[in-house]
Amino acid sequence: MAGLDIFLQNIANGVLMGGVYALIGIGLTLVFGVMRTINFAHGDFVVLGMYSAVLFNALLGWDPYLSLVLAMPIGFFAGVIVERFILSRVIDAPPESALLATLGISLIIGNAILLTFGGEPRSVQVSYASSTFSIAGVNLSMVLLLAGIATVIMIAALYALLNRTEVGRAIRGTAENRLGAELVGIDTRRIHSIVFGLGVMLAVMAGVTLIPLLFATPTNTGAVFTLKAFVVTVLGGLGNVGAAIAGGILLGVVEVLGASYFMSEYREAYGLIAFLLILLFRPEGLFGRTVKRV
Amino acid sequence: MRIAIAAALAATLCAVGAPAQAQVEVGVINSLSGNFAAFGERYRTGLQVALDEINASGGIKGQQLTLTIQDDRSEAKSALAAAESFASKGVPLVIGSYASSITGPLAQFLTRQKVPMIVLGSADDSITKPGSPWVFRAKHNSTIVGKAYFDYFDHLKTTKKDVPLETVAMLYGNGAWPTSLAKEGKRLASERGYKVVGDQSYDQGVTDFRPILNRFRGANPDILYIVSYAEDGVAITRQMREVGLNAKVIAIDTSAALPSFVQQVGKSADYVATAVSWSQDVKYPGAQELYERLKAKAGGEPSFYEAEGYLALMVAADALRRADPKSRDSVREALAATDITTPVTTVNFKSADGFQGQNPIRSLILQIQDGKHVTVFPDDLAAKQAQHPTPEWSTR
Amino acid sequence: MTKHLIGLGVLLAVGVAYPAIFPNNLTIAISVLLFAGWATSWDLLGGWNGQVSLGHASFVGLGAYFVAIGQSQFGLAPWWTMAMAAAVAAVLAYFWGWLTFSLRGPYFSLSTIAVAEILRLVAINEEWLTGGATGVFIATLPEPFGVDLFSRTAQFYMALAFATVVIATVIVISRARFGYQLRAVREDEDSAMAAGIDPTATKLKAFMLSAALTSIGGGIYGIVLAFIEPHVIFALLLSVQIALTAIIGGRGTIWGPAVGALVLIGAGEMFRTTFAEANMLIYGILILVVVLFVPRGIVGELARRHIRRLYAKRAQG
Repeated sequence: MAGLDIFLQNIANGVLMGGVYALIGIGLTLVFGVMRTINFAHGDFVVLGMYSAVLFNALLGWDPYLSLVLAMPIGFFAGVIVERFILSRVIDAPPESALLATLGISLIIGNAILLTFGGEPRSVQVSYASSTFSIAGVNLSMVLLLAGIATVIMIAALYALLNRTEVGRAIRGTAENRLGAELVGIDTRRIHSIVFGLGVMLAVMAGVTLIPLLFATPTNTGAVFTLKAFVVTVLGGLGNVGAAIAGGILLGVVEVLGASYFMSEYREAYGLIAFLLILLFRPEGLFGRTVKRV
Repeated sequence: MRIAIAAALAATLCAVGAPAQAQVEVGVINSLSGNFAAFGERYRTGLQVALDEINASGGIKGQQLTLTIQDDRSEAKSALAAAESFASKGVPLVIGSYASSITGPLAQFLTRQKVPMIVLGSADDSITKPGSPWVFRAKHNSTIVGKAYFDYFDHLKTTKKDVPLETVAMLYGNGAWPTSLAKEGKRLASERGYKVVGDQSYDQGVTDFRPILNRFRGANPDILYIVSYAEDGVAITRQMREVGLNAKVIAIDTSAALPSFVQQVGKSADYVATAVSWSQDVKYPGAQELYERLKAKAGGEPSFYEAEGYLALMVAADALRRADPKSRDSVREALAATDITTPVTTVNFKSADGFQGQNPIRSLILQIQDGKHVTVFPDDLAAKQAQHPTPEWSTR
Repeated sequence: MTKHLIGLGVLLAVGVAYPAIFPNNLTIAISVLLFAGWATSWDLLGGWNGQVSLGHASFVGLGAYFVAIGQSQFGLAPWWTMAMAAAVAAVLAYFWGWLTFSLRGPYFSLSTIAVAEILRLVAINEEWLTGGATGVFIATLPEPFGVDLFSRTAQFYMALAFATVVIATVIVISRARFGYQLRAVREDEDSAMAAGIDPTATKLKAFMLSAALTSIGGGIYGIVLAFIEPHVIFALLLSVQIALTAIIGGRGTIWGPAVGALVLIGAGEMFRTTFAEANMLIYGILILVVVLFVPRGIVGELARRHIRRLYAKRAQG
């Protein structure tokens, strides 16, 4: 294969991996944008979604995508409950309290899964796991392509929710200025519950969608996802969920090109370096509007 | 699971509650929570099968053998606290643990406390090289496993002369075991005249290996030598097919040995080779029967991890029978003089090549044939012939 | 002030007697003391100065590696390598802070994770520097005045000295001009600047001191383990545990981080030996309970109630 072909192939793979990262990060972008708390449990909620797909697949023989029907509402209400009974109580305490609370939640989720499912990695085997789709000499992985489509649909839906509905406007208002939102009559406590519910729902959806592609382990995987989600959030920027796609794609392309043409053992570092550079030189993110230096 | 917790609780309570009357207590440090819990579960199954067998056949000189299992939360500081409590409690020996980051500090501590130790899971060379007079390992290490793979490659090369095997590409995680096995592989490759055309490691991430596999495709290696943990190996195999990376021999250590590998990879798992310390179809007396017992206890398909747990306790029991369980010196001497045959392997701790307290166990090479793990090497232990070479993906 | 010095005296008295009373529970006590020292060092930056770092494992790893490599490759005694580690940690913290102190709040915390993760990868991959992923053994150690540094008793006293020195440092700083600067920057950087305090310089000093102290504890941890692997010692999990310990105990208080270490390590050990596989689950629940019912940390909450009582008394009187 000529150099250019390989390069295009790598770019395509990077963009598709970016879709995966965006999917993992989208829920966190929303929650972080509105609540400004470091949610250490985000990755664990993604893993929880993966296990729900595994469970429905094992018990009822459902295709992972079918289990979204049940997993989405459960995820939303789980998020609302966690926010109501835990996070809302610490929102006015020093910010580290919320961080700590999510750490506790993360430990509880991971270990509850460990006790229920055991420690072996799980996934759902689909017939198209190694299939590819060819365009102009570039091979696209079928599972990655499906994940990419799911990302676009989910982000489009979230975009519509935020920009076309009353609740969406309230969420954006709360994100930009909580006090101001209160003054114009928005119940920001309720908005926080809804936002966290949506965040968990998006995490669970990401987990379900990615199970044909990725693997779930009770305690390891969650931390990896959380870290990627933060990178996506910071790269893309806040205040604009579409930016999560940009952040994800940037992360995917940087990682894949780094691993393809430089040292592959530093793959996870390339994204982090990009993350630091963006934080330092363009703190509002690639497409965000909120300035992070406050 | 609740039963298992209750059993573990009961075991702990019994060990604390009942004074040492007519029983011999062995301390076990195992990873039951945290990152290595998947392995800890398997080891515990094997230990329990061995415990039942030992007590059914009269225990230790007529006394019941009991196990006190302490969780190390997959971290060294908890393991060391557990080791200290065992050392002060007067157990004749300690068995533990899985990860080398835990087992290394354990070995150092127990050596200084003069407590005999049998390694449960860690396979890192450094535990028994230079080792210590107090540390014993019945299972394999990276030198033994690396050699098994290259003996297998040599064997394939001599049996099928028309299939050239000259180049090898290596892909491995950045953990202690994958790194040391890769290092041993590189040493053996240059010693035996293989050319290393790819050498890439990776950190734990989201299991995307396409960039590395695409790089390898350009180098067109005859042999793929891959060392990966569970899910990484599954993803690598799926993506190898996806990007069309062909090789005549595909060896995937650790991951491909697990029963779940075949389930999760499906047909693409065929032809993959992997080294293990034990397999159900190996031609050792009692192996098949051990498999049945492990399977019954595990409630699922057992792997070589269960067998290694079983092996560790059988070695302990054998030494305790020949020693005075009250004297750690005598237990240590008995362990050093070990010479037994078990359904897992033969065990003797003759030190050689700079190793100490290391059993020169023979590693087996399994190949996945029609969705089943089959022992294919070494010849005298093999159940079937290896299928070689691996056909190209486009023809499968 | 006298109150805190008495506290320090009690710690030393209990500490000196401990090995004789509990000769078989030294490992756990060493863990408590090391975490007390680390969390107190962390608190200099995280609590007193309000900059929550989630990368302190880097300094633990730095200290442990200096001791291990210094001993095994160059035959350098641990006291020299610990001093070197402290100096290098301070320099590293200077550059690290210079790079990231323009960020505030959660953004600073996130940037520390990123830097620490990159350092972890360097420690794993650069074999010429660290010995690589397979780790380093400490096989021999010098015997100053005939003391075997491998004995748990000797290690206990090292950890005790470490924790004591760190807490004493914080006691002194809390009353010094520097301590007030730290708090002023934490409360409001702009007002602090208006009062003639350079926020960045203050934060840099706090970070450097915090890093240097942490790395000394890391050196002791290296000796205790006698075998270190980069995955474990540079892990994000360890960074998080250090921050957790300080926050649970009470940020910005002198004794909070030490109390946090006692509670978390003690509870962790108790759960480990009684609840088998479920122990980490219960540990998670404990963290949640503390966050919900004592949001300012154990000592922080006690101090707040104490102050409220004082005000109430004054109001009545």
